[in-house]
Amino acid sequence: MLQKLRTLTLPRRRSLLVTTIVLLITAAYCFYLATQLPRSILPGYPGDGFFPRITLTVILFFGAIVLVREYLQPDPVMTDTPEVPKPGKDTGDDDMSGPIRLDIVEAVTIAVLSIGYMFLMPRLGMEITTSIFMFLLFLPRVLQPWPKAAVISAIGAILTTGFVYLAFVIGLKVPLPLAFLPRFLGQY
Amino acid sequence: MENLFTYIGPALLQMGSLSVVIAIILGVTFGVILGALPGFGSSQSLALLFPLTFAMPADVAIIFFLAVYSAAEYGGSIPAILIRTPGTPAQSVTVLDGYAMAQKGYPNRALKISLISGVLGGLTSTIIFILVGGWIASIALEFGPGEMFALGIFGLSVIGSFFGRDPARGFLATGLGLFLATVGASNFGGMRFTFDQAFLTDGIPLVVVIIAFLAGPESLRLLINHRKTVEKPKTVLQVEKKSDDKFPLSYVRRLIPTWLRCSLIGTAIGAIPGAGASIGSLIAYGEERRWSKRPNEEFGTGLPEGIAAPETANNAVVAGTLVPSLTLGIPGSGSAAILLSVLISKGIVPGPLLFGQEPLLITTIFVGLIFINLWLLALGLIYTRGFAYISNIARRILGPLVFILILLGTYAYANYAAHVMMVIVLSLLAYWMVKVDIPVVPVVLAFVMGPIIEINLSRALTIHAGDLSVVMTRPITVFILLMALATFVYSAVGSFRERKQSERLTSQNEIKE
Repeated sequence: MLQKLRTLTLPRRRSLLVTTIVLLITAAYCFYLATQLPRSILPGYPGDGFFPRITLTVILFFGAIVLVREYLQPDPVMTDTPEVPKPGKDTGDDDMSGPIRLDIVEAVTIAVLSIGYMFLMPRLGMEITTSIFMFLLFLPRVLQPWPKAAVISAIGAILTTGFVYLAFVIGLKVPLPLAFLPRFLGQY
Repeated sequence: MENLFTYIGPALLQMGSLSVVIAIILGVTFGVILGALPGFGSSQSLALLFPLTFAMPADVAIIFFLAVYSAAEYGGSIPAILIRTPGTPAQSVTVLDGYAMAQKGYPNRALKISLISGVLGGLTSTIIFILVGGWIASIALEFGPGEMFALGIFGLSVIGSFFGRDPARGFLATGLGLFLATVGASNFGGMRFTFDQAFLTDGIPLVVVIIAFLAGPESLRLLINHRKTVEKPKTVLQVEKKSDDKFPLSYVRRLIPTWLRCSLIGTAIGAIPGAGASIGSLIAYGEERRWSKRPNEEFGTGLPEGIAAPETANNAVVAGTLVPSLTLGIPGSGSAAILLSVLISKGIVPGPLLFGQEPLLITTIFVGLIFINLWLLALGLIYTRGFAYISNIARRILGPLVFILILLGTYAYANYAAHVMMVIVLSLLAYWMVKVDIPVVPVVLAFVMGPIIEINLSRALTIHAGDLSVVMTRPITVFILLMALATFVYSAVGSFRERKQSERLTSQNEIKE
């Protein structure tokens, strides 16, 4: 039930149609912006808007083809309520002929966690934020009873943080914001 | 050509430097490991390892990348033979005879045939690359900006036509890549599509687009689709090994025609933009069945030719890809686009001038490819079996590890959090594009080629006082543009016929039901 609620099931063709329409509207708006770019004073140079107008024409032309063709195509026969895969089962990837399934909760969680990670890293330091970030990513993926899953995830998160420190800070000399590790493991 | 051969001595000296040796050893090892992971093709592996090259000098970076590329193409064959799970799509054909031979009690023989064939394919195509590459570059040196612009259009026509399910979606993705390349400051100082955001002033960096569109969808697929996936534990084939489970010398004579044929096929397929290793190995297998003296029924039962053909071809693709990429600046695949990006990020402009301006680099690539293949052979002869276990890593655990590498790898480029945000947003877009079946590789290829096309078009127009008709009517330009048109028409007609045929089949099935 919970799995069914968090999974967004969308008809494949309609999703493509909506995506194409969004692309076409964005392209049309950018085309308008490109026409507003100033003309060049350099003789012969067509101006900064010339090439973007060509690229946007490509998007508008082929987007329109996709749109018209998909719209005219007859509806494929499809069951109304596609089976929602059971958790724990090898869900695999989308069947390209069936509807699109998207775990919207997971997608949003990952986006929020990543943005939070980048926001907090300069404030808390790479060690703490990476450990928390990895712990939160590992926890739902370690399919064990929760105390055991938490311990395994914590160990995994700390090991990953150590690897990140060695590979990026020591190896690649990336100036990641650090809180305490240089005191124990050395500095670049 | 003579010029290049005079640099062999210095290039060999460079091969002896510690940094190059380490780059080859690490590149081959990483490549085999990533290639053995299910779902990780060469382009995903290269995108993931791209940040490692930031700290390397140009020659070391390109050698490292070629090592990863060659090894990833080979690495997928190990799980294909031992556990019937191809690491990359290119090894789907290797499973047929490779696994069958391993089941008969000859797993080591199958692995050795795959290894030796891959190495020979790589070496042969390297020699072809240096011979043909120099020749093409010398012809392309005669090209002006108009011809280079037309060549770019031809490249885009091939990319749009042959990537993805149909040309319309391919060109839609191509247009998107070209558009993304126009964001930020133009070559003549104007600002485009920055929406008053400071982080867009310098445009979208190439590394962001590569990571977001090549590694991003795969990592999000692992994170979202496989969050709860439990794979059946795959056991490495345990069969009673035959006492003669080794590579018999008599096979050398038997397989020479296969190696030659498939090296040529792989190199040619690699040189065609859009084709890639999967198509190379498929065509090589098909052609081998046609040309081989063995009966067709024997293919799929553990025939050495059935392993040698696809493995030779998919490794020959690597050097084949370099021909259009380095001589004309047209990347034929996601992997080639990343190789070009490494060069561009080091201030080296790929194209016909590269052979004249950077002969040492070209010779180093040539000599480096030979060393890479020899190291691959050495590693394979010493130890391959253990790499099969890599494909047993649970995808749900792999997801977070790949994702953190993507985030921090992007941050490492310029220590700028806005780039990471761009990667997150563009990765989600790319993930969605894959869901709705719009190909993502053309976005990267067009993004690489966009600035080259724009600058050549602008130069040509400036030279001819803005008269587009003069630019477009030069004989070579007309010829190249006609080729681009022919490619487009060919793919459009092919796609139309395919669609009609599938509609006919669907209606026939409905009538039967």
